[in-house]
Amino acid sequence: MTTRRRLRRPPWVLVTLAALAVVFFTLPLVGLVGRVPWARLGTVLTSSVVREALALSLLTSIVAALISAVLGVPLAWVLARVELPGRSVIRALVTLPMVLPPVVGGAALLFAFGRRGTFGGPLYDATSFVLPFSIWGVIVANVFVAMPFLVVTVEGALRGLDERYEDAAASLGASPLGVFRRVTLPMIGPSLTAGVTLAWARALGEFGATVTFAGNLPGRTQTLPLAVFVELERDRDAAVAISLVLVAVSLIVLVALRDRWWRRS
Amino acid sequence: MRGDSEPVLRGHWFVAVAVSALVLASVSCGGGDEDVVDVFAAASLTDAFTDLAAAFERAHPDSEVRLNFAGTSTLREQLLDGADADVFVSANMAIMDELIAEGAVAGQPQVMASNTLVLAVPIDDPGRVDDLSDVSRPELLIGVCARGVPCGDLAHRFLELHDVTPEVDTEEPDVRSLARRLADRELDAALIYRSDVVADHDHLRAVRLDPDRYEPLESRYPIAAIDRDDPGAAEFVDFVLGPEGRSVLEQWGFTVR
Repeated sequence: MTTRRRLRRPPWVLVTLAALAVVFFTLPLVGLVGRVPWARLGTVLTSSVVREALALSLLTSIVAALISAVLGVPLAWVLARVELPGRSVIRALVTLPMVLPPVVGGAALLFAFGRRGTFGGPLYDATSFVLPFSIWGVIVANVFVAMPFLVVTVEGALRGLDERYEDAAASLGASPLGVFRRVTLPMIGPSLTAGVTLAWARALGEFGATVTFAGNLPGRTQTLPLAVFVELERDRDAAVAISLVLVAVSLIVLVALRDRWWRRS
Repeated sequence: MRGDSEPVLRGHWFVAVAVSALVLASVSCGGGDEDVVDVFAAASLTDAFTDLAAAFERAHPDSEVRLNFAGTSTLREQLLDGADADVFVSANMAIMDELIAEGAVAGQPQVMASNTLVLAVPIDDPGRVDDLSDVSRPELLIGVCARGVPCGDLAHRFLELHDVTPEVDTEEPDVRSLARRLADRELDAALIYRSDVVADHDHLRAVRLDPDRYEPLESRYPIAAIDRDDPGAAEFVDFVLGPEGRSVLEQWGFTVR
């Protein structure tokens, strides 16, 4: 902190490369906006396909983010605080969906929870419940790809936390669960928000695992990304309009949360 | 320590960059002396054209056929976006006509084969499907191709023609993924092509539909060279339309006239 010096002039190499990176991210957006059928936009966006896909996308991504938080925060805490044998293996397992092609994740989910899957088979025989081709299939696919983002973010925050506060609370008589709820959680609040937001954004954009595991049916499993994919081959204007919605929704949330996200400690 | 490791690190960088550059160069140049024919073909032609390409390469040892399979509507977008292809085979006339009108295909299209839409089930028929009306049973898992894809448009026309309202559970972006789901018994019935059933006859079979009640619907497959004066493409088109091509197509369940 004390040795931080303000650079009078940033090195031009860094500035040039940084500018190049910004241009790289901006140009595709410019291309997208350039293709927006402004005259038809209203009609396209109020069509039943888009309305249903938008509602389904918002519902499934929010539910997926909540499930990710309920399961992922405890998991992050265990990974950060409990000396487990094979902890690095567990951590690798948890982060695997971040690097795996989502379509591979979807196929794996299908082999596990499909109607003829290792676990889905017995479930179907007992209850006639089929996870794929249902809204629950979409949510499961979303949780699978999104939760790792939350776990990684929250675990990082827990590791950076000064444990003396928790020790102090415990020494004053708080139960372990009480320490977690009253001290740990509030202290990692911003990271938790960032983690939930990242998981939500990842779920909103999820395509590969969803189409592979949950199929594609307007109104039931066709989320916005799937609608874009199908419409790209049928009606490009519609595809571009839906993409614009995805970009807008994501940007609004990311910008609104930028303070909590970037300004950590 | 630091002084030792830095040059090594720099060396790694150099090697990595050099290797990437080499790989990129070799990928982008490719081919070499061989005559390469890039064929964009509808997904339903996957098996037939894999065989056809091998047969063509045997007959023309100096040629190499590169195949790109996808739903016809995907191929249309790729071609409109300037993908480098020599031959295009569509799963319906409409998309071929559209590409000719757009100027993306200059060659004269010729109908190569046709394919019949069938109601297919897994070989052991878990849903006990014996009529088209069974696709309205809500307890069954039913699949069709998405609208806009030739097999999807054909399926929806077939259903409307016979006044059947299906209880669809998924609309797949191409017929091969739909056939795959059916073969894996994730679905109970699906409207796919006869060629898909032939291609996977160990796992799939077509339901016998009364031809008097359900007049069969067909998809026609036109083939065309992208450029009018491309000897390699013309050679491949002639081969497909010739006796050898016809026999391979028939073998895979297509109807050749």
